Amino acid sequence: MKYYWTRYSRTYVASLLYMLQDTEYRLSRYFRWFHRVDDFRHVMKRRTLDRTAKIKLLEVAMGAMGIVIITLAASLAAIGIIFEEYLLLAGPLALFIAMPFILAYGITLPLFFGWVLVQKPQERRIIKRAYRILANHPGRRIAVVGSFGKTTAKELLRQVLGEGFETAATPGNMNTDIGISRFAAKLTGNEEVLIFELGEEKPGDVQRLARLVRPEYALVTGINEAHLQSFGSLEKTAQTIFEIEDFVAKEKLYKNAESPLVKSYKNKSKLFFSRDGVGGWKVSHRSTSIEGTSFRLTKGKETLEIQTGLIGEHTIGVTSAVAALAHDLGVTKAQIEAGMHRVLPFEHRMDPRPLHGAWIIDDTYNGNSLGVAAGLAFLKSSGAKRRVYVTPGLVETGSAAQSVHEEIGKQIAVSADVVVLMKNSVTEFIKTGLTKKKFAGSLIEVDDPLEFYTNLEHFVAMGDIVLMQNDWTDNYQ
Amino acid sequence: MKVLVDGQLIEYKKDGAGRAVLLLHGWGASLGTFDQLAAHLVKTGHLVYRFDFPGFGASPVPPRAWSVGDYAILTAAFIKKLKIKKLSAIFGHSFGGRVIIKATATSIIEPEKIVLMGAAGIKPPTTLKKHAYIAIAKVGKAATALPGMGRVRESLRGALYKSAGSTDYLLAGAMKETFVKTINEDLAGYLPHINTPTLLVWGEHDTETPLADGKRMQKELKKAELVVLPGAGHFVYSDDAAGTFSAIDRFLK
Amino acid sequence: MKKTVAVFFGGRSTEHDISIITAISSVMKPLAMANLYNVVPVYITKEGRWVSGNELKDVRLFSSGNIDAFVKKSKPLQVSFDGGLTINKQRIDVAFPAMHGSYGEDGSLMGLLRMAGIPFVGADMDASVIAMDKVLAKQVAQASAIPTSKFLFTSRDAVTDSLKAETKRMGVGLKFPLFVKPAHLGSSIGITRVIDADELASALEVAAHYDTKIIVEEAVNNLIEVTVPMMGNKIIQPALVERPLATADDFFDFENKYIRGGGKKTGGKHTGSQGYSELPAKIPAALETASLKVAADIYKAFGLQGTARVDLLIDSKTKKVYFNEVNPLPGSLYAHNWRAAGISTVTLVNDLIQLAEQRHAEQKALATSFSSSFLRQF
Repeated sequence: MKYYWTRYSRTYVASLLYMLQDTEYRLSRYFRWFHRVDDFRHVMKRRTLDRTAKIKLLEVAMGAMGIVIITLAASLAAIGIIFEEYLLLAGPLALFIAMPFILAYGITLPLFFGWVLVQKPQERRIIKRAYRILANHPGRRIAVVGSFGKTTAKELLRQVLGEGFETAATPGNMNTDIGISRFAAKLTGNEEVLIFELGEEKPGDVQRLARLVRPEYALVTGINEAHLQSFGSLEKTAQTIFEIEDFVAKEKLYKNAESPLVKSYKNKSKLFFSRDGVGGWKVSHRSTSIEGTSFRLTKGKETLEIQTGLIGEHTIGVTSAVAALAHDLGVTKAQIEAGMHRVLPFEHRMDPRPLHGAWIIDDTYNGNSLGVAAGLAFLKSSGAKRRVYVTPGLVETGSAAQSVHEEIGKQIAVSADVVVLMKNSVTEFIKTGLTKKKFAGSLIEVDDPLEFYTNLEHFVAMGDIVLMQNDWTDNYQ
Repeated sequence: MKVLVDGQLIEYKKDGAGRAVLLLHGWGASLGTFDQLAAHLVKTGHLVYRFDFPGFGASPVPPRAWSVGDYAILTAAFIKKLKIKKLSAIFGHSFGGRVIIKATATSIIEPEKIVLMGAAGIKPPTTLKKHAYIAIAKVGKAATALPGMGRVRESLRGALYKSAGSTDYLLAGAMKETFVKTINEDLAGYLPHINTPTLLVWGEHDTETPLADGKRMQKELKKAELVVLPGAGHFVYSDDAAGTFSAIDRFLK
Repeated sequence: MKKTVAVFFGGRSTEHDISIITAISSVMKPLAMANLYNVVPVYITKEGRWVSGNELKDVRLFSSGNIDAFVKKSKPLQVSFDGGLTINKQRIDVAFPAMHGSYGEDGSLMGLLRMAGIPFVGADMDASVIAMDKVLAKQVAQASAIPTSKFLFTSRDAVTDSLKAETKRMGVGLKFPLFVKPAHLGSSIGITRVIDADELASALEVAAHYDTKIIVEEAVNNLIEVTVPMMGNKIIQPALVERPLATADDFFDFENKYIRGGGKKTGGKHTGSQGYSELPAKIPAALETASLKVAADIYKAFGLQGTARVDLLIDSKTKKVYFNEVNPLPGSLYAHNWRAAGISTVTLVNDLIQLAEQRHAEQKALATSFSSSFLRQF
């Protein structure tokens, strides 16, 4: 506790607000983070505080709280001195020592009141309206559910269906009740196709959102250990995601065969997608590189020549599903192919950029072991002069941390020439995995990831492919 | 290209062929300021010489503070070193003009014609405002003479000089003493001694060497004509290149 | 165990400022990234004062001008030659000279490090001396049957005493146009291209102002200039043949090389020399092969080690490749060229350190102390 004094610095309150904002006001995460931090000077490393209206109000509330505490302490001190009751001075002293904690916990009071008095009723109203809007909207609805890959699936749907129809999709990760409701409020009514991303965090989420959205089609992108801490078990996760099957016909429910937990889940739909094909469509002529992925889909006499800017063979499955779905809806071959051409990698998701003759693939938003496997598979056969893999390991793996990361280490050993590990609690297990597979390349351990990223140009050379996965946000450091 | 003149390294440029002319730049500038003018003179059949005065451009700083006279002597030595037999014309801007006035009045350089553009040399009368600034500066200097006040003095001086408009002085660096030496000399008295035909080219809105200076010079010189270019400022040869060039072409014919 | 590497930069030369950038961007930063070394910066001011301290790793200390204040309040460097080299109580495992030009690249520092008996990166003292003296370099090239343009040389004294005679001698023995250069300087300072006797005389005076030894060489016609970075001790590998693109002036001069080409790019991470060049050079394959051969021959003839950059002049008509000069510590280590050849800067500095250690091990194996009875007679 030698850094206790940092809780009295100028930026302490800003750091608290930053942590709240970064955890999206989820108090359990906020408190876990708060108790993990030792030195409050270095909390805001990745981003800075976004001074939204909400934050500004909280700042005012904090200021008021601070004034109240100081006034209380000063009054106690004054009384103690005037009446020579020096024992009373223990009060202000205690207040002073406890001040950081009072502020950190006290911040939840204005939050709570704001939430109860203002936010919650407001949101309830918006959601009620959304129910009505969506009940009456004529557009066809597609729901995207899963632990990962939703953004990519949504983008594929948007680009391809957009070629043939007037389309609207929920933006960013507005995948909660209120997010979807706000999106619904902005609809004109002329949209022919609506694409919804349904977020899942606890049991019942998908069911509730599906009731709001009333999907006709659904895509299950995959299930993994994300949000494991809030679900409790993988079974519960799978159950929640498959709440969608009550809303969608079994021939309109596309499922990812390459996600083991999806493949093994028993339900009525037999419609799976993978890099071999989907439904009656068969995949052939597969090829992938830093420029993108291409393949051919054939069903009977029909062929589709698909080319996207996405990287990695693992993208073929969901791409095929979207092609099949689009075809079902009546989008023409030319339209499907044109739409596919426009699909480019998302920021921080297998997102390539050139650097002095090397290629850096930024997959830092990836946070699951399937993504790791897919990334490493791409790296292994990329044909790069030097294959470099950069990672801090995965977050929220709970008790499975050791086995998961040893396995990752073993995969890396056969896929990369150089491994760069951002040192933390799990990287030791990755090292064990590397040793077990007799890794013959070079291993570099980095203490300061930010320094590494800013000086990346010194590290790379012509012909390198550098894959960066699973960056840890500040709250996990 | 460099040449050693009286122990001083001088960076110079020589372009074109024909009648030899020499261009002298102003304070804080270098031979590059005349790129456009030089190109034009080359086109009209001249052998154009220009160099960086010691302490500017690529010519190293002189060993001690120099006066206008020192620069005049150096210019004459340069002409001799490069074996320029006949100088058809010599051009000077601002500080370069000062050097020409001194050098030709004392006959150490004897060109056939002179062109002065926004030339300096007339010492402006010391206004009340100026007296006030000088007084403040002297007081400030005394007040900040205590040890440890160095930084304070520097920043105060910067603010004062900035408000007085003396950026040239502040930026002069190692050339500060030379700067002070040159601006304190009033060259008006030399003007009547110059017998050479002179063209004065002035920008109407010149604030550094106001038009009044140009008019004064025309009055004092024996054979001078003044061309005023409306809309141009102190750097008349680039503010109104076309106007400057046509005036020069006519004059040199 | 991390190795302690001392990086020496700055120095009393005309390339002092460039050395700062080389040291910070191309040596110290990559060494830090490799995460295997403890880096100790040793900065030598223009006046010849040696200082050390971690603050010297930040280019902003220099670009802001605060370096003067830093040097003023720095304690004098504590150097101890204790069978190795210890600086400010830190034992140095390997030295990395990052100084360009006189009193640094020319062998002065190498001599000192040899005496200390620690491994150091780059050319040894003898190769450095030859490389940095343009006259010696051409004499060794000629003696090794490596083509180089015809040349003559003179001294400051000869130029001062009998300028006319020297000018005549040069004009008779060589064909114009000629290049007059101070024999020991780098980065094109004091270099003049001359086309007649008058210009030659002037140029000799200018060169004599900068140096005591002056070389005058014939220009190569139909000129293509290329440069080749090389690395190695016994096994030598080249990077890519690079062609620096010329501007209106016929040859590289100070302004083109460092002021116009570089300047303030990304906070000092790039240096001027890479602002504008053809990499790899677009020349016919035969010329590329010939260039690589001449470069390798020079590297071996001079006994260069670690890394060096060989500058060549090609007459595109006669297809002949001439040796021009060699630079035993290229600016920014020419890292951009190595990177394009597939070797990252981190790999480069790592390899250079290993080469330094290899050479040191070999030298140590040679016996240098012999017990004798010489002293007993006294």
